[in-house]
Amino acid sequence: MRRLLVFLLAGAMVAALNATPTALAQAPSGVLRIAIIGDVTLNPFTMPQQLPTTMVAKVVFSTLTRYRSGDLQPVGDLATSWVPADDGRVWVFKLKRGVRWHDGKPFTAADVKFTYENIVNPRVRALFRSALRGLRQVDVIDDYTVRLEFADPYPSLPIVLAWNIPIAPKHLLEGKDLNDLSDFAQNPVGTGPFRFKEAVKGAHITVEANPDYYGGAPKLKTIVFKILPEINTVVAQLRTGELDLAVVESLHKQALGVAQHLTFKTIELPSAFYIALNNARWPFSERLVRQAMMHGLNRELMVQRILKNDAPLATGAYAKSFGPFFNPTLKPYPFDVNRAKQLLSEAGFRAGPDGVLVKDGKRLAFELMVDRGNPVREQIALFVQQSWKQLGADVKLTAEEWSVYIRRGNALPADYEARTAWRITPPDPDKTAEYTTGGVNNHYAYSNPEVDRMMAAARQTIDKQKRIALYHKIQELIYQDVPVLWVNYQTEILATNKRVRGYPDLGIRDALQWMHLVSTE
Amino acid sequence: MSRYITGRLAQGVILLFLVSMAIFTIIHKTPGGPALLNNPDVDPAVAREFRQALGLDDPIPVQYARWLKNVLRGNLGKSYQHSLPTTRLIAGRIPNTLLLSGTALLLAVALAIPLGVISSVYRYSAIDYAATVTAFFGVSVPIFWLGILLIIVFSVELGWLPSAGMVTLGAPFSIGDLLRHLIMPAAVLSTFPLAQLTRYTRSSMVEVLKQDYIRTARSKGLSEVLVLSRHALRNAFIPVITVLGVLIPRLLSGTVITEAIFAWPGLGRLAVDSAITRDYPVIMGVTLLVSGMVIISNLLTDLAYAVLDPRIALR
Amino acid sequence: MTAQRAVLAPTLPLVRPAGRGGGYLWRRFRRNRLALVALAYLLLIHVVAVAAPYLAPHPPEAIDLLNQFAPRSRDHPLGTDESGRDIVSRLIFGARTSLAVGLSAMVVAMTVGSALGAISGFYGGAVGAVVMRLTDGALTIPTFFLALLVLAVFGSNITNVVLVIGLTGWMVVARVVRAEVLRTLPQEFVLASRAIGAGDRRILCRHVIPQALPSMIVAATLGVAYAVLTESALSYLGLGVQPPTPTWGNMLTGAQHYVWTKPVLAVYPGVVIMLTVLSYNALGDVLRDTLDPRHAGS
Repeated sequence: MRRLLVFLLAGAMVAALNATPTALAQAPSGVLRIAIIGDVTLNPFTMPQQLPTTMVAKVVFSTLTRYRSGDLQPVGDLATSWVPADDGRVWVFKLKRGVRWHDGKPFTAADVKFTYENIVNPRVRALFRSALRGLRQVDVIDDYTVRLEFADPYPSLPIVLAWNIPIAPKHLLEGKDLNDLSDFAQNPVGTGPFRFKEAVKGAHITVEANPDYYGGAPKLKTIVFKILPEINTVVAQLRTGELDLAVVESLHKQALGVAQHLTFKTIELPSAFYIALNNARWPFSERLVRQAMMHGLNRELMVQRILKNDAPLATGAYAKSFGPFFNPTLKPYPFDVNRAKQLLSEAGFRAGPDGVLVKDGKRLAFELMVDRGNPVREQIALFVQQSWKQLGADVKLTAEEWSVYIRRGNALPADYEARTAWRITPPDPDKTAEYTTGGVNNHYAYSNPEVDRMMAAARQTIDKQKRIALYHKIQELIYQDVPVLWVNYQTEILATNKRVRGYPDLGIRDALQWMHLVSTE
Repeated sequence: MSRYITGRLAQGVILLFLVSMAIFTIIHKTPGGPALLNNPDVDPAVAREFRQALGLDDPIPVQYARWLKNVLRGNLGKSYQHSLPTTRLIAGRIPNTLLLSGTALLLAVALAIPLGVISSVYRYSAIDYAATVTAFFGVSVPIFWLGILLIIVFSVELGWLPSAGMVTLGAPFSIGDLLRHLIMPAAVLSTFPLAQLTRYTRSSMVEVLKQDYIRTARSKGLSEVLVLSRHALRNAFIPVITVLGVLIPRLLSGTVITEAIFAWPGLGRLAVDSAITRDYPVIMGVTLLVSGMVIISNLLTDLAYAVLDPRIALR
Repeated sequence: MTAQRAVLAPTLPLVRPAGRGGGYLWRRFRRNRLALVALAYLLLIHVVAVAAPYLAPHPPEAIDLLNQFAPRSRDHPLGTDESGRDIVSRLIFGARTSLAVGLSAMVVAMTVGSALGAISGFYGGAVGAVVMRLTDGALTIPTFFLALLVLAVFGSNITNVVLVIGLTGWMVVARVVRAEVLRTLPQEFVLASRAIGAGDRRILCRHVIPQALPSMIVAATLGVAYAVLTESALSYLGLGVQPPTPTWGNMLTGAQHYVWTKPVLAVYPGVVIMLTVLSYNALGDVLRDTLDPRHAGS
């Protein structure tokens, strides 16, 4: 009798558990579910620059300009038009009228002034202070016109503004300590297409449609940003239909390929993935050695086999997405082991007793650093190690924990010999930070005075043709110096549920500024 | 008794103090620093100012003293990652982890004790054999592997159970939904305790059943059920309680892995995230909490002994 | 802790009954089929680990991008992984590293634990109490944190992984040894030895250790099981031995990314880990039963 009861109970439990319909059938209409990898803190000035915060901030706040799908040209968001004056040292922006903050108050040029002045305020730990470098003055001409004056010409300003400088509400934040906006961050007020609704730490952030949005009421009702730090969970949820949109790697494409309800989009980004060589350290201070390492790397095979052809092979520092600024005459360095060995021999290396090359008594031994936990990058690093071994180098592979990797890899001077690297940048052809002597992102210590000169000149030239010519020449010079080994231009692989309509052809950071056009059926 | 408890609590406090000092020193010496300061896009001047404002440039003993002073006032500082007071952050996660580990422990105990008892009574039977072998597997299987396998079978292939999270977002809250999310992680987490408890219950019952007083009870004509429950179980429980006491810290580390695999928003996940991002205030807060929990659970286990076995005197 | 200590000490006979020497051990062992299978498996896997360079058909780190996820073939008995590396060779070399780590960590735990346990039991009083408190304290530190932090500070190389695993497992050993020492010291043959003037060291070596040996062996066996399992867990979290050196644990980390394309990649290392840990656990259990007739009949 007791046994029978137990069976019945078990049966009842199983039945109860299955009574709630499985997730695939239950896609709520008007709700878009996106995956983010961590928690979010929405302080528009100091926000921890991590992808999750950037993503949510993009739907809650607005910037003056944003990128257009397709050619990545900046178009107006809060601004309707902008005009440079005095060679680009002064910019006058005209702003949209009738825009309201989520709490109903009107948006005016005063908010722009408040935001930008505080970004360059040394007492505010603003993340993007360097984006507004040289800002001397912000003037409110009238409620819908603002004038920005810089110390030097700044032709790239509209591009940079679209990147990530949200406008903050003056009426709510004036007089507050902008470094610590924990109250505001719990309940942020912006002008974006979606209003903050709720955040459950460690679980999700939900935003709801702002019907008064100046770009038109959003077609969606809510967006739920689900916090899923493990990519495997993201893939599983895409598969079961619990998630509508996520950025995945090419290896997941195969896993998800069979799912009928998903579709994939590959979007090219204007950034390159490369093997950085510390030009300040032996053996990479010599151009011959760097070129040899480049020739010894079968990058085409890497793109084909590791990246599954989901990303284009890189020629040099600038990607095709830079449009006219991209120099089309350069060709990728060919894979040629013999040439590589020849170059090393020219540089003075001879075979040592254990097969490793030696020069002046020093073995060609160095460390290759990669960040831990990303299977694609680890695979790349392993392949690079093996390839260079065949040239006669003794390469030690170190997979560092992220914090340490960043510390060692981005410090100036950097603490590595070779490492995997990439930098997500706006489509701004000005690469002062990356390729000039002492540039803040130039952790590989590249230094070419002619490049420095030309980069400075191009940065301050407003004439488009002149700029194009300058940047083409710059690319050539960098290409010849080969300070780092560009492998591929980065792409984003977006997996979406077929029920999602109207998603723009942009990287996720930029696409999120167009969410009012997206709908689910 | 109360003197014993006070004494133990005092020892516990000293222990917490020492542990906190050790961890504090280690994390501040760990290379890397808080993730926010490591962001390559941040203006280095801004990063430096931030560091100073957080007091990270002071010598370690000074920083520790500052932290300790705040803790004694009930202030665990503010998380670097989340800009939330640490106490609020941790408090939000505790119920989730308690739910998960509580369910796992409950499952383990509820299944292990009967299994262990049956195995010991019906030694060498098919059930005993099955239970023993399963228990062996249970203590030997890597739980992250088990978790992944379960996800493949139940979420991906069969589509019966959700693979992550605690509740389905956007849907109204329901117990059924919560249970469907809970069952796999709880099952995975309970594997080791279940297996270990089964083995210990069994061997301890076997021990007890051989004792003379059992024979006496039986010869008195008491029913088997009474013999088992009143005499055997009570004595068999003692080693079981021991094992429970040892299992609880183990359960905590199992929680970390399980929460990671199933994206369960609990303390374990918080611990991992804060360690990776070097969120010092949260690391210290979680350390205090976990160590405190271990100390208390040890105290409770010892007290349980005293209740169960009058021979054991508490010193 | 007092009550726990009283019970955790495995109970051994006060005097080894006559006629129970090595032959008895072996006979009892033989009767337990699980133990025999476990022993055979362990022998096999250790021989494989030692002979790895001669047994493995391919170098375990040889990448072949043109041959990723290859199916089983004569050249690759279990196929290849995501980088074209031969799985069998990686399992074989993985055995080498994982077992080396497991055994070394166990040695560390045993050494530290036995030393501290012996000191605590032998000297008693203040010294003994302090050591015991130290042990309790070590148990309250969340081990995962410790592992992450230590491995981040000092790097995730094999030596550090061994040390970290060893230093999180010595506490149990210390308790066991202490209990043994406390049980042996008051016995007559020890008192007799003291009476004739034997020094501490002699008593320790000639009397205490032999009595403690059986439970130490059991602890050691179970310690290896714990170490292998912990190594694989640490590798899963990315903290263990780093690529390209293969261990079973980090083979699993790699495989988990391909769980939908080629799930079997995750099965092989998982199964091997489980079998090894299981065998050590079984061995430990049988040893415990064999060396303690009171546990007999289980």
